[in-house]
Amino acid sequence: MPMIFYLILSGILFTLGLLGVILRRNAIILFMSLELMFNAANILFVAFAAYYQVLSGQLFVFFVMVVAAAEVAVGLALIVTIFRSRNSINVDELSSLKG
Amino acid sequence: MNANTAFTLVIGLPLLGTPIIYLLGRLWARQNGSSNAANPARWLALLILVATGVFTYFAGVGATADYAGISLNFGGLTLTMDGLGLFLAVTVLALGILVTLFSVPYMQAEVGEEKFYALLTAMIGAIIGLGCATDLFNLWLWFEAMAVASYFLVAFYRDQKASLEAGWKYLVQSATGSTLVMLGIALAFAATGSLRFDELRLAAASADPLLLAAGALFIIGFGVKTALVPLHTWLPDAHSQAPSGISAMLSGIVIEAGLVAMLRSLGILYATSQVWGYLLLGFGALNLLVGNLMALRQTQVKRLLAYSSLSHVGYMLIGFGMAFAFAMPNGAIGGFFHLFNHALMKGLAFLAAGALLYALYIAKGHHGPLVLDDLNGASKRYPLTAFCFSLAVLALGGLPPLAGFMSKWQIFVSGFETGSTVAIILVIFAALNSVLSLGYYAPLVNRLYRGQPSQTVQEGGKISPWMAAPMVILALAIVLFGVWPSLLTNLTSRAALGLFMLMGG
Repeated sequence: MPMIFYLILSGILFTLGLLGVILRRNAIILFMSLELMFNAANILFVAFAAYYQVLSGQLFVFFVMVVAAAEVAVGLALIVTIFRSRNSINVDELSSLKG
Repeated sequence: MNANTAFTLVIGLPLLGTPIIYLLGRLWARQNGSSNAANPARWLALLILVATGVFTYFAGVGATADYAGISLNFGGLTLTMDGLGLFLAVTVLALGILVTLFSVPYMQAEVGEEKFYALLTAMIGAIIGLGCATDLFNLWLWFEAMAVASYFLVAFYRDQKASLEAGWKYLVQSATGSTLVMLGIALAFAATGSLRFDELRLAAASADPLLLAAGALFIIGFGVKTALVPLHTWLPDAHSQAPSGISAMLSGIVIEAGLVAMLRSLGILYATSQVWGYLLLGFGALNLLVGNLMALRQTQVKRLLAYSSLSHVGYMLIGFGMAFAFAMPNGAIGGFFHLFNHALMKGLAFLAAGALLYALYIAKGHHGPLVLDDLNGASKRYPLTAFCFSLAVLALGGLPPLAGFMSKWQIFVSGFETGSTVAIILVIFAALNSVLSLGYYAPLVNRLYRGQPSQTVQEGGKISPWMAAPMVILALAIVLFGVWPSLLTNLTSRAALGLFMLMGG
């Protein structure tokens, strides 16, 4: 398959993720959109590691997964704590700090 | 001591120490309950940071002997302490040790104190590593380690709704930024097949559209952490809601670590385009203006200081922009000098504001914000804190005998040296902004010394000597580097040299 297909797939995933982060108001879906964006980068890494015949790109993917998992773990902990105090995970309601 | 051994310890000690600090603190807290007695976690953290500082000295002696610095190899991974890495390590350790001292009484009554010290040490270790990374992916990993540690620290008061909200905003924006950086790195990998700085720089000589896109993504992605203006909205919330020691760390070094990461990654792509320098200059001007205007209308002290961080990032960006756009060594040296001074000045300002906040509110179990009216006449009850706070804000405003003036001056000089009309107009704009910033710094001093103490101030508690000591040290350092700026020239010019070597100049 030509490389451009991978680039397009990665671009579509990334755009979907970015739109999700900007448009969706549910905290959990917001995190899933972030994961999509990380995976868009992962696809590029794997595709071009195969293209250049180097292993490093595939290795990076595992690290990206670990980091993404760490970010989401912190995020979920925050969401749980926020849910306990507000009974809602709608991010529009988090608006007490202004100015 | 062997420089390479010392360098291994500088990288390894904070990272290995983190779990030990946490476990020791946790075990101790289990046995003794959450009493007010001293948790040993803080002393262990302090010991580890001071030891890292000592080893940094030995590693620094070795690293400055040669322009390439010293390197460590772990399999295929190389860490190099060059001038820039050494500079960042010195800055973060200096501020980190003082913040740890300050936090001893500040965090004493808090639940989960051991987590605070463990995460603070981890964050400092990650920033040291960030300065020493030699490939883009490694740089990103250290950057993320720093970010994940700082999310917890911002949302440390987990029973406070406001601090959870600030932590959430910080996390979502910062994580979005890091996905953008990740995509940029993937594009750079796609264009060249390598992520090592040296190989990438050789491959980056042509204006490949993938590399241009990667550079733009680096600016936006690291720009979230650096608080470039349209991406700054997390900053005032996070800085005002975090524990004060962490506010000092965030403002003094974490956003600057983002800036260093951005400079490293743009430095490699220097040959691809002329536009990076002008982008930095443009964002610098925007940061100056928006930071100052927003700071003018704040009523809470810590929010005001947070917005003033925006404008100080603006000065640094102008310095580095001069280095990128016009190849001005003075711009980069001045930028690093201002970075160091800003860590001292803003660190002191946040610590002094934090000491007042602690004495007036937190010690009484109330997490209210410190508002400007609370400063009225505070010098009568807290003379030392008021003096340190005034010194910090006047240095931030750029009054001549203090450190802030010297670094701003060097940045402005580099602008005039270019001889370009645009650069000179920009420097005049920045100088006018510096005057404008006195519009919110000077009233703070006025309030401290001329107002009548309010009820809150008169009933305020004592400020512990543990809090006063770091403030006095920082105040002395600000005066020292103001009257004797050449003390730092060796460090800052080597940092600038590290940057220029990356750019291939």
